[in-house]
Amino acid sequence: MISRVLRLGFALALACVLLPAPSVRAQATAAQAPAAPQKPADAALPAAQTIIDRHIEASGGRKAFEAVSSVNLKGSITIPANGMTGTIEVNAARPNKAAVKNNLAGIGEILEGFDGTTAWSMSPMTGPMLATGAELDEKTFDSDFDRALGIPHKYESIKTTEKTTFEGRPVYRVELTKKGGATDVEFYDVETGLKAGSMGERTNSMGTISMTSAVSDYTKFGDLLQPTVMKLTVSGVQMIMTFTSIAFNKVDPAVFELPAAIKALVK
Amino acid sequence: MTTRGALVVATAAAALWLGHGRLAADVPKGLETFDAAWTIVRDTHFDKTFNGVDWEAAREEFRPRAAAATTTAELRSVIRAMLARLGQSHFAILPATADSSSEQTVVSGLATPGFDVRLVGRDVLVTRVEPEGGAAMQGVRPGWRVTAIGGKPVAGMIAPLWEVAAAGAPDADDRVRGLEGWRMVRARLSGRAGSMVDVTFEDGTGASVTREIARAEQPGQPITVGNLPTMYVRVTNETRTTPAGRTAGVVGFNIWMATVDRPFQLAIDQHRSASGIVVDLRGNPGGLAGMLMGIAGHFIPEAIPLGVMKMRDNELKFTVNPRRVSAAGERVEIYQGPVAILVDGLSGSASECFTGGMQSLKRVRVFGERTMGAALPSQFDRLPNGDVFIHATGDFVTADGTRLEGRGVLPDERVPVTRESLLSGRDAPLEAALVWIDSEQSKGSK
Repeated sequence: MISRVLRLGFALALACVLLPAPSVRAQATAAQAPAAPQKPADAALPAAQTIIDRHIEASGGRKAFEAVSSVNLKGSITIPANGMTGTIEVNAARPNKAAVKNNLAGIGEILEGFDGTTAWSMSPMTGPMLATGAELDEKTFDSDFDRALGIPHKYESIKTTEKTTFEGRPVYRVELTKKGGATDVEFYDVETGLKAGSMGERTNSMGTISMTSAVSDYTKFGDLLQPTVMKLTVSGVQMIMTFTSIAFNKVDPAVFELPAAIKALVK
Repeated sequence: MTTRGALVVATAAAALWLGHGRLAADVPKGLETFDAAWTIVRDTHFDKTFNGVDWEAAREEFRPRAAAATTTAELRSVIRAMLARLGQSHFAILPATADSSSEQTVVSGLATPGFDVRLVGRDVLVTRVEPEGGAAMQGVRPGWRVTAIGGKPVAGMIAPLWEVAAAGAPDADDRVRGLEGWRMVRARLSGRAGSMVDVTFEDGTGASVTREIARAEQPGQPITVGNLPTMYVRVTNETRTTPAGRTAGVVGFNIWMATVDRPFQLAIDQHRSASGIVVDLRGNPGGLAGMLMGIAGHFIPEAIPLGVMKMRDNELKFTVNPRRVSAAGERVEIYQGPVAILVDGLSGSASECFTGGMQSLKRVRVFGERTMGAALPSQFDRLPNGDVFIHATGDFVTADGTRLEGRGVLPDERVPVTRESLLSGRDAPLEAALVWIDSEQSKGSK
């Protein structure tokens, strides 16, 4: 769950910081009906669904995830190379609502959200914007709250492709293919079973860009073990998000309401 | 080894950061710093051919010189010489430490005597006087010729500019001289807040007058983005009357920072029913590239690209975001009236990408003088020795395929600055824009 909403938060940060970069959000693993399982490329490798189920168990178990209907995260953003810093707050709620607020020093407040129908963003550089076309499709896909359960029902297929190394640790590489052919990749730690990161491409009005995220520093919040550090790399640029507070089932639904400027655009 | 920075800027502001940096007794992390700068370019330059430069050979040539550098200033000179081989804008080293006369100082953030200048021919002319600044208090007027600063003749200061030939566009020499001359004079004029500087002028009557002027912090909102020096952001907004008695909004800003967006939005809201709008980007060296899309959206109702940023492995479109909502959060129509943009030789980077993009879409008419020709989107990183390294990571091509780097934006109407017009209190480029607005409105009413 956390890795899912963290990546949504990056979309905002990148829209601001990496100025020409399109919104970059997470590839997904979603809830409910599993995608058609496939045999791993190497018969010695565990099946993708087995790897994902192991991650869920290592994180606290399916019941613990299902007991969560909303989440609030607060933390900081740093870009070590150029000294930029800021704050981030992420709210997400079942079934697919999301609202993210970034505040970067020298830039200002950047907002992004999805209320189940309208995907939007507001930044002091570009003004209020609505996502349309492929971008809206991706945001809709990415905003599924239950995707955190790691059951990729929206994917056409999932498969384990190899045992490799990611961030210096042995991982299983799982390839998730959407209807239409777009592919996301996730990495799961061989030893702990926890998700270690992901790779994917996302699109907005500027074009398509690839990103890699690495998650770490899993910490227990309530009944769930969640990553508190995410390193996102886009075009060689790394941003680090560190979350100090993660709270479940306390989100005010009002945070997902469209801002006045977005409502005016929707009219 | 450094990690790479993230802020993509289209700014020539780097070129305006002139001299900070105490000479060090040794060169801390000298080779490490050299290698980091070289590697960043190797890994991120948008052109895999490095503009035809053998980058490996450049390393072999300059690395021994970096190793032999005995001061940090020498090290920076070696790195800058290597970067100069690329022959492109947006490669700059901003010293981490504070100052010496041989290094360059940060103009933004330093106090000034409250007037701006341009190099016109071989004259350094006062082009603008801050209403509340020290110069205004001493009666300095636009059009006055600056002849000496602190007793040192300006003519001698800028003479070397004519000794260096610049390649490129036919008027590249003049543009390079214009930038360098401005930089030299500004560096000499700037200093600590509260300090005094003696400036000798030739006034409007031809008389030589010397004024002792107090330096003060630049007006504007101080903004600091990451490791970049603090910049003072100003947005101006006024209503002018055209020769035919129509109203026109004149909105300007001095750098492309996010804090500009709201006052610009408010200004556009104010002028939504005006006969025309003039965007004044003279002296604006650029800033955050992402702002182009939002500012352009006040004048263009479709999500179409102003241009494309070409990176090593990708291309990203600078797609206009139509601004259909007012600052008050109400739905509005995009402004469809005539829009003029004012530029000059110190309009750089994001200002050029915006102006060139809008010009390529035939949405604006551009007045003034050819722009800087420094239009490469860039990022900045911290080098191992603490210096900030600005380096181009993309090339910008306008919607009609025009590459602006080196070329700049050519005004539709070239309106040069003259001493006579300044002395008479006229703003010739703005006047030309207002006349054009009248002509456009006359066409529309026929």
